[in-house]
Parts: sequence; structure tokens; C-alpha cells
Amino acid sequence: MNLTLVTTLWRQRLTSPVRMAILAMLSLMPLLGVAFMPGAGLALLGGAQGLILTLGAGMIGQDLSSGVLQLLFARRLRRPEYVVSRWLGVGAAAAVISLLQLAIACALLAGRGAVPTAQDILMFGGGRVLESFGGAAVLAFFSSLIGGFGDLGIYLLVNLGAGIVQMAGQVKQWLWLARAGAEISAALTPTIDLVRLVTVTPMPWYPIVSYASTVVLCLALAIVVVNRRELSYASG
Amino acid sequence: MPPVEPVASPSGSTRARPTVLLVAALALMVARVVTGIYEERHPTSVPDLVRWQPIEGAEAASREQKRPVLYDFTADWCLPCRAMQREVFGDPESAQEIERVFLPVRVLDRMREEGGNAPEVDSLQRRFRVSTFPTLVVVPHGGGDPVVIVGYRGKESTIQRLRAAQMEGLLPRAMRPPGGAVRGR
Amino acid sequence: MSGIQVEGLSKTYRRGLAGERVHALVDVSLTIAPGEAFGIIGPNGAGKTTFLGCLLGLLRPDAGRITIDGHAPDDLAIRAVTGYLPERLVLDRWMTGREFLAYHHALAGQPAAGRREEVEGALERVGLGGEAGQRAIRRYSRGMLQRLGLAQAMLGQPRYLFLDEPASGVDPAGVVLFRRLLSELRQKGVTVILNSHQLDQVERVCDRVAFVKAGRVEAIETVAAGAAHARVLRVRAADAAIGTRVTREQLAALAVSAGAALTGIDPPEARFTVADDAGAARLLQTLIGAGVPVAEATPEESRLERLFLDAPTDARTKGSA
Repeated sequence: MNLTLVTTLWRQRLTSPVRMAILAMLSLMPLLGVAFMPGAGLALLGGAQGLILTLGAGMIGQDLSSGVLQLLFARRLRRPEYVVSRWLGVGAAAAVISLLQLAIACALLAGRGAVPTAQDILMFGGGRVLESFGGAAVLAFFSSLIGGFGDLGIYLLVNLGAGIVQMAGQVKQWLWLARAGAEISAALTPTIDLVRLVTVTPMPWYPIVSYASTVVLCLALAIVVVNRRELSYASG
Repeated sequence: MPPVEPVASPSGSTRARPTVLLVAALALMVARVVTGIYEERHPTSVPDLVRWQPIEGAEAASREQKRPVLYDFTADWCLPCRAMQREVFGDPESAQEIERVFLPVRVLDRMREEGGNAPEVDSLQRRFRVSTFPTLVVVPHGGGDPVVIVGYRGKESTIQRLRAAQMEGLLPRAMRPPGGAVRGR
Repeated sequence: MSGIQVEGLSKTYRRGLAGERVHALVDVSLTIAPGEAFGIIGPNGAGKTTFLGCLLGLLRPDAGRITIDGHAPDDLAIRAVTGYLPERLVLDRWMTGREFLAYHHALAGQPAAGRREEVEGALERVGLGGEAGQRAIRRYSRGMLQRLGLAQAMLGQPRYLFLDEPASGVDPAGVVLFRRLLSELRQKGVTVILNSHQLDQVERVCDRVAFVKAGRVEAIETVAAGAAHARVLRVRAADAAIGTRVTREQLAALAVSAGAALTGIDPPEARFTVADDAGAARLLQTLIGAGVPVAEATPEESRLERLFLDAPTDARTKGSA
């Protein structure tokens, strides 16, 4: 973990007007719904996918294709450190924005006299934080494979593919196929359903294990890919 | 000359393989498969706040208490059924409302686990032509067409459809919409 | 410090998905002594940048071995004492010059205390002090980018400095500045590896120069670095005087009296070695004063230029030096 790299990622995202505009839209629109739609609750805030994709698009790929990594990797920097720092940078940023959104939503709901319970707040906040780091890990892996913003493309393709596989499985009544499709689709934005975790007895381990498995695997693969990358642009 | 890896100095390579992470990833993947299979075979119990009545005498009791019967056709292996159980029947508010409005009866299919069902389960399934799970059937106490709700589309949707089915059961026959409010017969 | 050892280095690319194999480097072996200024020259596509990439651990050789101070090139210990100025310099365009140097200062593991002063000092040294450091890099001219790139490469007092076309796009004032900075670094004992097309710069700065062509080191020349720019002057006399009216002995004597040396006669031309421009002027004055009808005096191509023009002859030294 390299703090310089993490803070530099944040500063870079802040200086990108496109990213900031999309982020503002993604964070503020659900809040408007919470403020004005009767009966709206925290559920209206949705998930963290949008934040992760906006903050994380090209998190490694763009550095790869722009040529910035030439200078970076000539420094006293371990490549795994670089990958982990990018992951943490994106995950932490998404988590912080999620929590801010949550705070504002609670304030808005309180103004309407519909404050969510402490358990609701904890479950939602915790879920979003887990989702932030989980989704960031998956995107880091995709981003290590392809330059520029190709990671978005991979994300969309996998999502589409998983949906098709799942549908095919349901149509053909092949439960394992449907299950496989559902698993892949869920793995794109790994998270843990905290509500289920606390309400069900005995506590299920599978959600925790599968979350950790996806995150660790994606990070490990991203590091392996970046380690093997050859950085050259000229043939002479 | 084949590539020779020089001896790594104490400070290490900038491209060191993340062995720890790779081992952890492998271990977690194995654990994932194992726990997945285990928890599939041993479904965790979901708190169910609805007090389900026995099938025997349910319809008689319903006429007596002037409450429609709510049949919950379900199976243990059915994931959407479990979701409905957790989100609708496990939720205190909706469970209370269901108990107040209906006479709830659970009809559990055991075809896969035991190869066959008890006769009353069988006859109920055939009577309402239940082919998928979950299926909810509301039988109005005043006699009348049962309302069948197939599939689980989320908590809100299910509660709304149950309410609509209940309302329909209360209407005099002439005013009932043809075919039922929801996938009726 | 034990310098850089390269043994049997080979690297092959495949162009595109199913393209031909390009042998970027073939069995390159050489040694660079610590504190040496080593130049690399060669035609485009010769493999020079690939070579630098391998030395920096950015590329993995297919065969062969590189050690820098006894470590592999991608070792952390080496990264800490290396500075690199790439050919196609890509800097983080959203940062200002100052922020960029502070960023690399931190990445080089330098302590935060004193960072500001060191960054300012680095900017001043490359002529980017004052307002230029405040400007966003996306608004830098080409010359400013190169200066900033050099400043970045020198951060953290590297012991090995790898410069790939450092003076490209730099104005003459900048070129002089670079030369001065390089000679300062050399005095501190920094090993400089310089890849450049500008042969006169290479000749001025470097101790030895490797000529790379088609992935092979064709020659390694020892250049008298730092010395005054000696050259060969070809003098043609009118009326075919050389060799007839003016004898070889006379020319030799005249050359010596002017502080030059006669290297050969090729009527109607004579070739002299002169120490520098002043020496050339003195020689011509002496010749003219002695009655030699000098019609034309031209410098011969430098030794390094000849490498590009001539086919390899048996006079070349191949391989390791």
C-alpha cells in the first residue's frame, strides 16, 4: 500500500470534470428521490456499482496505455503495491461517497420524520462499503487486462454474458447453468447481504467466503497480470 | 543462453509473485465451493413468523372464522420460496397482517426428497393445478373462485397481490372481475 | 558499485497477433563500468530503446542476463538508485510541474522533510524555476517537458542515469544546460547511459559509445570525452599544389608549427588532425602564410558518423569491449 499513489489517484479523479459530473449525478439523483418521493427509504439509494465504475474506469488500463507506467515502474515501487494502491484508492473513494450519501439520506428522512433504524443504517452502510471494495477489486482485474477504458467494456460484456447464461439455464431448466450465470453476475459486484447474515440462524458462511474469494482472486490475478506486463512502445 | 534468474537480493524484486494472495485465493475458492454445497444441502432455517395451520379442516375453519384460506405451495429446494419465506413471512408486519386476514396453510412438496407426497398435498396440488413453486392460492370463505398467485416477484408485489386477492374475495359474486384480479382461474 | 554487466542478451517481439518475429536484440554483451558515461547510437529500429527497457527491468529478456551492481535490473535495491528519462515522455498532464516532482520525490522514497526545497532546487537546475513550476503539465512546451523529465530522472541522487534521447525537442540553450548537468553528474561519479541521435553530443559527453544495428552491437568506440573537439580537416590546395610544389615534409612541418598534425596526403588534398576550431584556424593561417594556395578546407565526418555510413569492416571490434 503506497499512500502517495492512493492520494494521487484521488486528486486525479477530482480533476476530471467528466467523472465528477457523473459522480454528482449518481449521488444526487437518488437523494432527490429520497427527499421528495413519499414512502421512499434507504433502498432507493441503490448499489455502489455506478460509483465504482465512474471512479475506477481505467484505473490500471489508462496508466498502461498512456505510458505513465514507464516512469512509475522505473521507480522504487513494487508492482503489487501499485495494484493494491489503485484498488484501495477506488474502493475507499466509493465507500466514502456512499457513506456521505447515506448520511444525507438519513438527514432528509429525519426531516420527514421517517428516520431509518440504527440497524438499517448499519446494514446499508456496511453493505455499501463492502460492495465498494469488492467491486473495485473486480474492476482492477479487468483494468489490468486491457488498456484505456477497456475495463468498462469487459464489465459490460461479462454482465451481458452472465445474464444470457442465466436465462438459458432457466429456459432449459438446467439449474446448474442458471446458478452459474447468477453467480458470475453477482461476482461482478461482490457484496455481502448483511441483513441475511444476521437474521438467519445458524450464520451462513457462504456469503462471507464467496465475497473474500472473489476479492482475493481478482487482486491476485491483477497483480500477476501487471507483473508480467512488458512496458515498451518502440521497436528500436 | 537460457535466461538465468539472478539471486534475489534482500530487498526483493519489484515483480515478486504474490504467493500469499494466490494461495489464499485458491484456499478461498475451495472453501467457497465446499460451503456452497454444504449450505445448499443444509438450508439454514429462516425465521417464519406465520403460524401455519394444518391442511385438515382448514377450509371448514375458514368458513367458520370468515377468513379466506391462504395456501402456500412451496418446496425446500425452491430458492424463490425461501426468499419469500424470509422477506414476507419472516417480516413481523406482513406476517401479522397475513395471520389476521387469512387462514394460512403451508403445503410442502416432498416429491424430490421422498419421491411422493401425502395424499392431501397431492390432491391440493392437482385441484389448483400447481406446477411451479412458489404458488399462493387464496380460497375465499364465502365460496367462490380461488385466486392463484404464481411466482415470487418481491415483497411489495406479493403483499399487494395478496391484498387484491383478499378484496376480491370480499366482493359479492356479481361484482367480481372476470377471471380474477390476478392470474385467476 | 560494480557497474552493469550484460551477457548474451536477446529479445524478440512478435509484431501484432500473427505477425513476423522481430529480433530486437541479438546476443548483446557488454560491460559498463561504474562512473562511466556510455553512449548508445544506431539507426532507427536498431533496438536501442529495447536495450534500455531491458536494462531498466521494464522488459524481460528472452535470453541472457543483466546485472546492475550484482542485482537483477528489476530489483528494488536498483530501482532506488536509478533515474530514467524515457524517449516518449508521458507525464501526468493534470499535475503542475511542482506537484509532479513532489510526487516522484515521494515515490523515490525520499523523506518529506525538505521535499519542497529539493523540488524547487530541481526545477531551478533545469531552468523551470518560478512560474513554470506552477503551470499544469498539459500546458508545457516540448522543451519544458524534457527539462521536467530530466529533473525527475535526477531526483533522489541516482547512481545510474538512463537517458533516452534527452535533448529531443530541446532548444540549444537547453542542450547546453543538459550537457552541463550531465558533466556535473559525471563528476559526482554517476554512471550515465545515453541513447541519442545527436552524435556530437554523444561524442562530447561519453567515454565509450556502442553502435547498435539490427539488434547487435556492431562496435564499441572509445571516445576521448571532455577533450576538446578534435577533428580531421581536409585541405585542398589550388593548382594541385599539394604533392608537387608543396611536399609532404613541408606540410608536416607547417602543421606541427601550428599545433596540428598531418595524417596523410591524398593529392590534391591533405588531411590534418586539429585540436579544435582555434587550431583549425591557426593551421589554415600558417598554411596560407607559407604560400600554400588553400582553396577549400572541410571537416571530415566524425568517427561516429562513419559508423553509420560504412559497412562493417574487419577493423571493427565486435562484441564486448
